[in-house]
Amino acid sequence: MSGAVSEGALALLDGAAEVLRATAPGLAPDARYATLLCASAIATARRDAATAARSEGLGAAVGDVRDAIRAGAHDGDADLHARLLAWAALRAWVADPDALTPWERAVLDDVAE
Amino acid sequence: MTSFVGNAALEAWLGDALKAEAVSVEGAGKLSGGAIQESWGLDVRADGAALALVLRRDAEGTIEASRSREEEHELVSAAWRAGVAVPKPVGFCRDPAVAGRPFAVVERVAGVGYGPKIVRDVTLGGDRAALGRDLGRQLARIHAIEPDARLAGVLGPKPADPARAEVALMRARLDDMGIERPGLEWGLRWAEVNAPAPGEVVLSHQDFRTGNFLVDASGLTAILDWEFAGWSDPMADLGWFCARCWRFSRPDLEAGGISDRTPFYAGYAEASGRTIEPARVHWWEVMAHIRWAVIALQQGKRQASGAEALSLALTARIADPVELNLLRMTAPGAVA
Repeated sequence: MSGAVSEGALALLDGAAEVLRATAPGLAPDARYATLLCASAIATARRDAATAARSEGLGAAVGDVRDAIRAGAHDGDADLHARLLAWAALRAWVADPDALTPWERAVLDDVAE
Repeated sequence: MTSFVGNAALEAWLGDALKAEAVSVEGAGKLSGGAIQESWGLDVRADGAALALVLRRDAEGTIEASRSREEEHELVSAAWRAGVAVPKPVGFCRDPAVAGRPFAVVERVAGVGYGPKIVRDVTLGGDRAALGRDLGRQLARIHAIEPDARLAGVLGPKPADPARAEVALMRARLDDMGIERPGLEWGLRWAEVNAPAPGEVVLSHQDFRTGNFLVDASGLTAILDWEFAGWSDPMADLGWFCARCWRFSRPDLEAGGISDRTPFYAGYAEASGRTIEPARVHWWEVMAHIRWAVIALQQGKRQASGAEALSLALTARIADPVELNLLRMTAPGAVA
């Protein structure tokens, strides 16, 4: 996703995920599974939308380095590693906020909702 | 969808496989898990005796790395003969007319398989150090399997250098998907530079991890999911089992969230006679992260609909925290 997402849109996604989570316990197993899956997908999409611009920037800072990495041009390159780590940490937070260490979370403090 | 209950062709096939005169399938239910395969629990009556069986067939659109069900059946049969704790094989049916697709049938084994639950619920699996040791012993039995001619045909030639072959394979899979992942490329380059020298090559399970075995209250009951098995470095399975991504909520218990490494390594070393090489295991743990990230991305490319499509899309997202772990492990100056 590109471009800013309004706070109102993010709040709608939060609300939708919350309603689904609240509804799930009263459902039959298959419906509960599908409902919680939807809640998880909405929460992930919400975090993705909230951080898309920053992720795009971190990705641009890494650049198109596949061939150079394969050729060994970045062996031991601490600067590139740090940029890769920052980008991966943000995406990991989108997928699973618990994946970050406290230090990584502190570095990315402004991604927290 | 082909029905299992009241399916005369299936009942006839089961009659042959079970050497029974009168067979009826009295109930069938889809078992949880298995994005790559479908598993169905069958309640069968054969000559008056109640049997609990499992029928396994491909899910729609399986992934490239997964073996066919017939190949998996050969592997499970070899493991059964070697005394590995696997469900007893009943037979394999090649005829797609019987149940929609070719399928394998094994006896159903009781137990819980869901990895996060096994890690969290210590009422399962018995004493955890003993379970870790038992898992090490079982892995040694797998690595001791000497394939007969038929299984050797399934496995193909042994790779001369499993480590470098795995690096090349993962790069090829990324290229095949048309996905550029600089973080995974970083890890693959680290793996290439630090690859261990070629050594012994054994039959390797290649998905030996918490979540792919069953436990009851007292311990291990069965090792499942043989669809990735093939030749590799014996330390590859140890690395996969110990990789951070398979410890779930207990990252401190480095042997699969079950125990620390000591009993697992001890069980393996006792039963195999091999010396554990920690640096080699570490290298395979790094590769485990790359491989799991690649599999997750492959899952995201599979065609599906409804809840399954959503589940696969979320699975693809797992590649991101896995990549983060990989980068932590391969920082410049990190010990290889």
